[in-house]
Order: sequence, then C-alpha cells, then structure tokens
Amino acid sequence: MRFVFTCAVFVSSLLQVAYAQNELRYALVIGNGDYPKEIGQLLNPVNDATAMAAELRKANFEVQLVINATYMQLREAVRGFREKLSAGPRENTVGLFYYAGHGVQYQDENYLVPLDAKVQYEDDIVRMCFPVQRMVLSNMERANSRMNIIILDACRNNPFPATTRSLGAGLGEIKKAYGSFVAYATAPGSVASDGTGKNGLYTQELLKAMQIPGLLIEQVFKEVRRNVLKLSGEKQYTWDSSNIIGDFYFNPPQATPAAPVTAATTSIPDKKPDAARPVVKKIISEEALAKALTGLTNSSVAFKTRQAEQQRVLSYFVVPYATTNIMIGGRIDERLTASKVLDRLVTLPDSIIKVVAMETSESGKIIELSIEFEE
Amino acid sequence: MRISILSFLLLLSLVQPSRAQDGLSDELKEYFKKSVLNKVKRLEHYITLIANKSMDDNLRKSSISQAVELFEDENRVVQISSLANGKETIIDRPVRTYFDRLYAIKAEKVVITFYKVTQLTDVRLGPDDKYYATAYIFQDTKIYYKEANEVPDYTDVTEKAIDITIKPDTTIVGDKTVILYPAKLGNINVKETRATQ
Repeated sequence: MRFVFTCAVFVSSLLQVAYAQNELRYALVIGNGDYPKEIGQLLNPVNDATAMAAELRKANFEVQLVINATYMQLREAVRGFREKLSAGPRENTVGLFYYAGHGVQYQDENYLVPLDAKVQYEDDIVRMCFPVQRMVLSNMERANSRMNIIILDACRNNPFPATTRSLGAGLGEIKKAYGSFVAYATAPGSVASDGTGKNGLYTQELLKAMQIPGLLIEQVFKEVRRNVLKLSGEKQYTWDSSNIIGDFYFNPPQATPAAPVTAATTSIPDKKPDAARPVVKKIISEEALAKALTGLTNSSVAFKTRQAEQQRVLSYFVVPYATTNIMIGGRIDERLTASKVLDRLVTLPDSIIKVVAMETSESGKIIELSIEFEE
Repeated sequence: MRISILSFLLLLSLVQPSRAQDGLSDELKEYFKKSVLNKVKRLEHYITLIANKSMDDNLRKSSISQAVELFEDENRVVQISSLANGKETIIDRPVRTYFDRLYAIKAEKVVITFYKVTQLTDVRLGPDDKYYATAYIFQDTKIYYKEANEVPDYTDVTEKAIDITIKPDTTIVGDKTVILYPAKLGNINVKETRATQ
C-alpha cells in the first residue's frame, strides 16, 4: 500500500515538474530607485528588481525588466505585458508583476511612483502616479492567464511634500480579483524601510524562499513573513491576499524523491517544519490571554479601564495588525487585525473567550491568533 | 417529443431550487445560522447601547463605529418608524445617520430592548453566487422626555426585517487559500409598528 502511495506521489511530482516546464510564465519586473531628490532616492529597488528578474528566469519566467521607469515607460511596459498574457492559452499561462520603488495610497487606490512624478498636491497623485488596481491588475485580469501574481515591495513612505500628508502611509489592500495573488512588503497602511544592504529585506527573503523546491506560493510568502518579521526585529509584517484556485510553485517539488515518501511528509512540503523550530517561551499563555480577552468585555469594569487594558493586551502581539481570526463552529468567521478585534471586544457585552490557536514569534509575541466566543 | 421536452423542463424546474439548497452541507448551513445570528445579536446590543444615555459616552461613540462595520457599506438604509395618533410614519436613514441620530435622540432616557425571538429564513444561493437570508427582530422602544417620569412618553414595538448577504471570499490560512463566508447586514425595513401600554 505504501509502495503504491509512494509511486503516486512520485508520478505527481513528475507531473508538477512537467507542468511547470510547459506553463507559459511571463513577468514584468520594475525597479524604481533613482528618484529626484524632491521624492527621495532609494538604494535598493534597482538591485531588488535585477535580482528578482534573474530568479524568475531560473523559474522559467520570460522576464521584461524595466529600471527607473517614467510614467510613459510604465504604461508601455504594462501594455506589452498584457499582450503577452493574452496570447497564451488560458489554462497554461501565469502572469507575475513585481514592483520595487516608492508607492502611495490615495482614495482606495495604490499608486506606483514613476521617476518623473511631480506631485505637489494630493490630486496630482491621480495624474502623475501609476494606479495598480486600475492599470496593472485590471489589465492582467482581462488577459488570458489562469493566475496573476502581484508583488509590491513598495510600502516605504509617502514621498511627497507636506501638502499631501493626509495620504495613507504605505499601500492599502487591493480588492483582489478572481485568480489573483497579491503580496505586499508590509501590512496595508503601514510602511517598510528601504534597507541598508544590497537588497531590501522583503525581496532578499523572497528571493531565498522562491528557491526552496516544493513550496506552494502560499508557503513561500509564509516563509517570507516569518523571516522578515524576525530580521526586522518584529517591526515589518508582510501581507498577502489570495483568490487563486489551483497550485503554483516557483520551484516545483524535486522529481526524484531522496527518501521513501510517506503520507506524513507529503501533506505539507515545508522545508522547515514547525517541529524543527526552536521552542520559545510565549509572552503570555493561551489561558492567561483568554482571561485577559474575556476581561475586556467585563461590563462591570469602567470603559476607560478596559481601554487601558486593551493597550496592554495589544502589546502581546508582534504588531497591532497581526492576523486575528474569530471562529464560529470551527470555521473562520472573520479575519481581522488584532487591533480591530480588541477595539470590538471592549464594546461587547460580557462574553467568555477561548483561545483556539496561537502562533508566536521567536520573541514569544503573537503573530497569529484564533479565538472563539463561548456560547 | 413535445411532451418529453415539457416533462424535462418541469423536472428541471423542480430540481433547480433544491440543487441550490443541496449545495450547502448541513455543517455550512449551521455555521451560516450561527454567524448571521451573531451579527444580528451584536446589532441589537449596539442599538441598545448607543441609545442608552446612562452609558459611558466614549463607549456609545465607539459602538457607532462597531455597528456601522456590521453592514455591507454605509449606503445601506435603516428604516425607522413612529406612531402618532394611530398613524405609522416610516423614514429611511443611511446607516451612519441612523446611529448618529439614535445617539442624539432628544430625550433624557431611551430604553430599547429586543425580544429573544429572532427569526431567520433559510439561507439561499443567489444567481450572483452570494448567499441571502432575512432576519426578523422585534424592537421595544421606550422614550422618556423627563427621566423622572415613571411612564414613558413614547412606546412602540416594531418588527424589522434585516437583509443579510454572505459573499464568499478567500484568504490564506497557514499554507492554503481557504474560502470565508462573511455575513454582512444590508437594508433594515420596518414590517409593522404597534403601540404598547
């Protein structure tokens, strides 16, 4: 029985390798760093984009690399990219858009900042910057690809003058479309540093994770989140959202299994299983956290006191926007940030809260939490 | 031949609605019910809290934001009704306006409670791949223009129908993309308003 299963997995691996080789993969990679001083030069995007292009070529992507692009160059590159994606067979084409450079969020749209953007006032953004949702994602959707991947290493800061300071810091979450995977260097609305090394931290870790064979795209970005969080001293929390159907590997599983494959090792092809990670002391136990969360709903305690307690509980999370799931009947009912969940708890009537699952970082702070209300 | 086509169409019409229902497992139906009732209960809690002038003012204001987030968007409409001389008047208010006005009712004491008999229709699949349901709630309103008054100056009981929409969405959990079914409130319509003693 095990032999049959082993054979099935082996054949499946071969098929995945063959599939990846036959798949038409197109990538548009953009790195904008050489900005005028009014906007602010960035050290890493050109290196990031060049390294990303090289890595994508290894993963069988046909890559168009555009460095230090103006608005017109961006527009032209996206138009050509769409034509490529439209030419391939629907079930067999994957599109990937990568951008490193300045980005800004304005009126529910994320904008890439071209080198020639002259922005003095907020409404200049719409004319001078390049909209991701309207121009990149919508063009990719209208093409013929089975899957569209957008990677934005752009959550740096609002680079424009003081007259535009009401703009959202960093990039917001894109309303993802069917068959799309969108990955951000930081959580929506937050910012990331450009970095001091050759590559930005996000792209540096992404390049490493993409090389691990057998990781599904979701696993690649989970690996990136874990490493970026650790290396940034738990300041940078990467974010991704998915609406894809089907699997995608940058680097498919190895065709030749090195050892007999069993059910246990095929369920999650993770190169670093959680069990192998060092055991860390949690900043708070599940039981104590459940008690603290329950206490936030205690209506006999003054609202002001509960709000103060809310801030203390929030400090147990690596970042205020750490993912927090609210479960009902074993299903995720809502997936929110920690901050939003705590804001809600202090307004709810007396409730008993159970901690269903808790994932912690190496410092013991909470990366992801799942809770349930006792009925 | 014509009879067989008619029979086929008849059979199809009988099969179609049940197929939409059958697409939902019992587990998913149970989850939908719990999720929707959870949102309705929270709405009732916030209405009671926002109207209650004896509560902490910051808590009432925070509750407005929380209540608005229960809805699909701020363009949804909440109907409010009142009785005067036996005649029912119904006004439409956008969600946020409704809660803002509820917060600022010109009276010294407002007590809104809900009967524990929330009714929920079956969840049905729409042609747009969203799921729909309607919840019925019974709201008891008592308004005292002077707090010292022992008898409320205005009372009524209103039956309201809440439109519920569940739009499947996806997210990444661990290593996998999974489907979520977030239930959101839509328009709230007045079905009937009755005077109470």
